[in-house]
Amino acid sequence: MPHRKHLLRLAAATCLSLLCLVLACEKKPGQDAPDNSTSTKADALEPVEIKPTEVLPAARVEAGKQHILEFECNRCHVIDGVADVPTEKSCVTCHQQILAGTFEAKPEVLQKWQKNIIHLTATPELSAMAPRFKRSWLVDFLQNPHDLRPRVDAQMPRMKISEEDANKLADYLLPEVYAAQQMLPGDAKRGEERINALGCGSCHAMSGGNLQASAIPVKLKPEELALGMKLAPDLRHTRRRFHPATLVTWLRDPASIKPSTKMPKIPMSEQDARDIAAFLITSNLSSLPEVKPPERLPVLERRVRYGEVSEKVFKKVCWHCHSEADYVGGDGGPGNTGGFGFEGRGLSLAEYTAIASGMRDDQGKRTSVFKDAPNGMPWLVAVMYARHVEVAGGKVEGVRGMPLGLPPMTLEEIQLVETWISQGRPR
Amino acid sequence: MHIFEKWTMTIAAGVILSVATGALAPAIADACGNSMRYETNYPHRAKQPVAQKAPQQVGSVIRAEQAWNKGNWQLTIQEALRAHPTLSKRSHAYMANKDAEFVRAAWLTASAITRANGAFVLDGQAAPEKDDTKRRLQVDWATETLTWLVERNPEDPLFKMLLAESLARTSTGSGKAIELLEEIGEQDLMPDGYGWATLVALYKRAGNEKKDAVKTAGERCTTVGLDEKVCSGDFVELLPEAKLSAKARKKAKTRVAK
Repeated sequence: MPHRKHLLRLAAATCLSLLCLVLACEKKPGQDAPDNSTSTKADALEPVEIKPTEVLPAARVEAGKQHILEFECNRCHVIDGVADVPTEKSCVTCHQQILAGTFEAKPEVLQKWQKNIIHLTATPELSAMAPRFKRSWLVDFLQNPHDLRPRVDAQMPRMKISEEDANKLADYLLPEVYAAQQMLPGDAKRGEERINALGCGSCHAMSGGNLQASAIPVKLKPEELALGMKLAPDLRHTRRRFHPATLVTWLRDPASIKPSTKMPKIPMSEQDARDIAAFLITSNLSSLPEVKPPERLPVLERRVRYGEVSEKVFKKVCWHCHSEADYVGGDGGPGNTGGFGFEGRGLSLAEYTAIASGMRDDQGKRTSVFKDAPNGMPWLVAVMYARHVEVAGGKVEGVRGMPLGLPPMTLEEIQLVETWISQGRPR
Repeated sequence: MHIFEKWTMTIAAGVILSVATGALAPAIADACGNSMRYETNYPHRAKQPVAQKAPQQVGSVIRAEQAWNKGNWQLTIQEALRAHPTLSKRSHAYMANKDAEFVRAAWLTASAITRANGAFVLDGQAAPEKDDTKRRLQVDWATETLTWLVERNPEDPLFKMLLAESLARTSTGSGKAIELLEEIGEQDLMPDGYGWATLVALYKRAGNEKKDAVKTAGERCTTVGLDEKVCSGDFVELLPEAKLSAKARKKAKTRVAK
């Protein structure tokens, strides 16, 4: 009998093992099952609790908020604890409302505008940044913004932010201090396999790294997916941006840190998250190819008049920020009466006489927009060309690229303006 | 359908939509700023978070400026006064008005009166005016109005140029007119060709000693696109001072610009 009992126990154990094996191997449609090779190991790992080591004094945070308001960060971003600006001052809200058809205007007007809107339709919400981001990165990024989100054509604009300003802004955005976190042990090689299996590359780019697109193992609404893809940052910068321990929590459950995030919760084990974090932080990144700004085109032979330049350039993009200050109570935009931390330049690009009337220089003196910039180009041309240089990663000393934070004007558009200026600015 | 296929189709649809949207996008983006404020401003709105004015009024000022840009001085006056008829009363009380759109109507009217050498009556009809005394009084009103605007905006080249144009119609104001126009011309801030044309007229009055300057100013005038007839400066009339009694002048509510 004991022998028979033993055999029965053995048979039952074998059946149970086989059943477990079958269940484990069965791949549910549309789901990429967690890697079972580490499931036992993963179960043993407990998530690390992330806690701030210090909270900044309220007065310092409040001073930071005043800086946020001064630089009008809320014209483009939704920010925790900062009131929204009126719709007509918020580029993104206005564009979103027009695209959604909720902006109060005649239907035919809405339809016309909907076709025109290309830029500034989505920006990241600035909330729950403190647990995630390193202060050093934020302070540097605010002063030297770069292309963080490759699928968003607009970038964080190069504003007049000093190191002191950036630190004050960071005081508000990162009111809690998360002291230098240790990286949790992880296998970067395995992390590379997991990140590519879990579909992260379908939304994110990782320039200079090895990240491939694959299906996301969760179901998302198309509009959520589209927005998530649009705002997904380039993972090349993760090692400079993220606190390493928070990154693990973020990977496993982003909404537990930032409830409004568009990043979906993708099922993964603690070990998966640690391995992926190790990959993101320690894998080799190849240096990026040097991008050279394009050469300016020679001026045109044909006659160019103001009407053509206005239609194709000034009233296409420029006048959104450089408009007349008086019609119907408008403020003329930040490029005219000031905004985004800039003093008003008094420049309207909406009318011939206004353009010819120039702008205020750094000393507040009115000066021509056709005068030579430090690089010898007429000022109007220099600022537009400088944007090409900025996008290529460079900087033109003394000239801020325009349009601010947006893709550069095309070389043909710049050529048109330069031709018009070279011909004596005919009306 | 496998989720990967669904995902691929979603991406493909998104890409097609983006390309189509980009291809259809017209050249001018006029959704913001003043255009938005104007186009969203229509009467049946229950609340008006963006626009504050009745559209007819705004439309009149916009049409006045369009007419001014085309050199149609009579229509400029008619449209500007349709929006702000108080301007025609020649009362100095309007100078307390800080409304920016009113200010625009004021300078458009003053400039149109000046460039027409006072040849239109300052009322909603803007009928032709032939009497020299009355024409000069209207130019004096324009000079006062533009002086007020220059005082409010001392660095604005447009108001300086317009004031200089009105001063150029008077013998007493010619010197100041040259000073103002030369200053903005040297800074390459001449707002339009009429400033150069006025300078040509003023230099011509000065005689042969300004021969080279006449040529230079005339060239600048034609380069920015005005025709030879305007750039000759001959359209700038020197209007005789209106000989009115103090009582009559008070009635006209216009002071001679000092």
